[in-house]
Amino acid sequence: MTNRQISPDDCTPVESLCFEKVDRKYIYVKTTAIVLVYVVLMAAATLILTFDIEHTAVWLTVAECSLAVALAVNCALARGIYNFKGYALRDKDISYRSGIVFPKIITIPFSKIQQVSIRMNPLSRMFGLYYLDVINGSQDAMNRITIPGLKAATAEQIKSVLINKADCSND
Amino acid sequence: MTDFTVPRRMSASAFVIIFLKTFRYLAVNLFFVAILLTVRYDDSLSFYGILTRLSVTLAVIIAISLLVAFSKYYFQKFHIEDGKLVTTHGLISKKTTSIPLPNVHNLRTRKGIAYRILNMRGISFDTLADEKSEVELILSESDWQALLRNVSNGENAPEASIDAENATAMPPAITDDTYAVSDIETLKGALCQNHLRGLAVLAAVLFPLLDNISQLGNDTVGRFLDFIDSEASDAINTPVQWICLLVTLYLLIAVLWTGKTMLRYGNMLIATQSERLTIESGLLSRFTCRLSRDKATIFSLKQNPLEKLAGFRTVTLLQAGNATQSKNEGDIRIYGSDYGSRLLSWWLDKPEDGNDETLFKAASGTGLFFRKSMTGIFVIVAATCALIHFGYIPEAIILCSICTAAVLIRAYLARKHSSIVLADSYILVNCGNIAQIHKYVKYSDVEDVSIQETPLTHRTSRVSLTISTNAGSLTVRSLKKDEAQQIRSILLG
Repeated sequence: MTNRQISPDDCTPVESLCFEKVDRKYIYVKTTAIVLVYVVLMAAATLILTFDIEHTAVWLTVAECSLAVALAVNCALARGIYNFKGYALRDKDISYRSGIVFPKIITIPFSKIQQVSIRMNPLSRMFGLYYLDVINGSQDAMNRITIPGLKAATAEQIKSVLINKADCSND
Repeated sequence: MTDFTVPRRMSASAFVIIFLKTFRYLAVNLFFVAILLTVRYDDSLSFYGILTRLSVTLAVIIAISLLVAFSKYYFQKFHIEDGKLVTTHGLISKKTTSIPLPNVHNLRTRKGIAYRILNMRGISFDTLADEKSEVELILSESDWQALLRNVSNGENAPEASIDAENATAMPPAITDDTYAVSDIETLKGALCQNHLRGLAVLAAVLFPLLDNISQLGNDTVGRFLDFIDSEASDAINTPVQWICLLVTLYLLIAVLWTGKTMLRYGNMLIATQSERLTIESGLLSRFTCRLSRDKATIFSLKQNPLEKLAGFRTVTLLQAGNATQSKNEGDIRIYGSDYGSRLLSWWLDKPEDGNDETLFKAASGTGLFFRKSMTGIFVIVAATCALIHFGYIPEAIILCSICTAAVLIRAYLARKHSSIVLADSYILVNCGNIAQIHKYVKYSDVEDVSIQETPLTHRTSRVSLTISTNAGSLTVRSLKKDEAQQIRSILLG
């Protein structure tokens, strides 16, 4: 058993971590999801034609143009979303960074991890990517870590590291 | 001596209580339907005819209640095996639930009027499990005491094995204290709270009534609403009458809220025994909550200006969120007492006059003031524009001034109260708008830490720090970025 003194300088601060990016194909997953959502919204906007109001064609055009602009902006932001997503592992915890308008870094100590799971949805399946969920005892669902855009091998590797580290911490 | 090692049913008195609960549930939910079927079915029915139909309806409800109560009573068994509480219930699909006794987070008991008459107690075992239905037993006093001894032995088993390994260590001092909170103090505490919470009580009374009325058909509901509308517009014409109505409504909800609080928290006894805290309260129905120190995740002390004048604080102990189905019964609240310091020292397991060294502290900046006032100002501006549009200019100016002042004062106080202190053995998050709220969390209960920036962070260097626990999250906004990062390092270190 060793119990050497450690210096605060030996610990890498969270703000200085080098965050690993998710797979590049995640940009396509994100863009496809955005396009699908806006296609549905644009289709729903055609219901304006059924309303009993004047100039329904004008209103429809305004709505569709607005949605088209929003679609273009969101697609342009998809790359920014990809660039800012990342995860980092230290000796005792995992950190996850996300968000471009409201950037956020969540750090969960390994000793607090209760469950690690891997999942995919039909969209991510098209690109062969997985989501890794790290669940602790926190009641706040906003503070759980979900790392998207991971290849199967990477997801399994991180999962086994987390589970091993969590078991060692609890022992 | 009651033997809990063999699967056994609850006593016969428990069947009576289950029947009464089932009957009450069915009677409340089927009351309006019964009235509808009896009165509207045949308008030419005589008084005795109506009475006969009501009697038949009542007999049917009693018969259904007996049947349901019997199935709930007969097919439920429980016993203690290998340090686990095992319960089986269900007729068609049998379900067996095993709860390791050390995992029992909270032991709650309930003694309503029927329970007291029959000398019984309703006991709920709360765990961190996500299952909606809790394990609830109805036992006599002697069985309850015997079960409590078994549960205590089971809960202490892991601690006993650790103590056996460290046999040379000094045993912890057992402190045994009992405090009582008088009804007057609880009443004062209830009167000092935010009475608008009584709106929830009023809604709880009105919504089922309206829901049942709606079952009588659209015509009846329409006539009911038209009646209310016509009577109200005749009776309430001037602003003074509206103000009187609002004051009456406020007094009503204040009475409802105070009454509810007294019924739930009146005649309170608090006992601390080493690691355990037991709180018993309730004027008509007695509620007991038994919690161990390490299961209380967040310790909160609140003091609003009225409470400060009266010289007491509201103590709240928050436990893990999954531990109980009913959040209200899970959180322990003590109104109108000055036992905050004593309970805090019990929770920290430190002497009352002991001071913890402060490792770090940080306070919120002006950004919190703007954040707190932004929504209110937006609503005030919108409402003012609407009032001006409809021609109520003097009223708009008066209301706008009063509401803006209130919003700004509230935002200023929120910013003044907001800070975080890292002490030797706990984290203290100070928050609250009008009231001052101090929330204590132990370092070991921190589940994760997050820092969130805003689009203005590049200019202001201010961020939000969130500390999550299994009882909820604590967020301190508008902290300096480097201070928040330092706090994160200390918490994760």
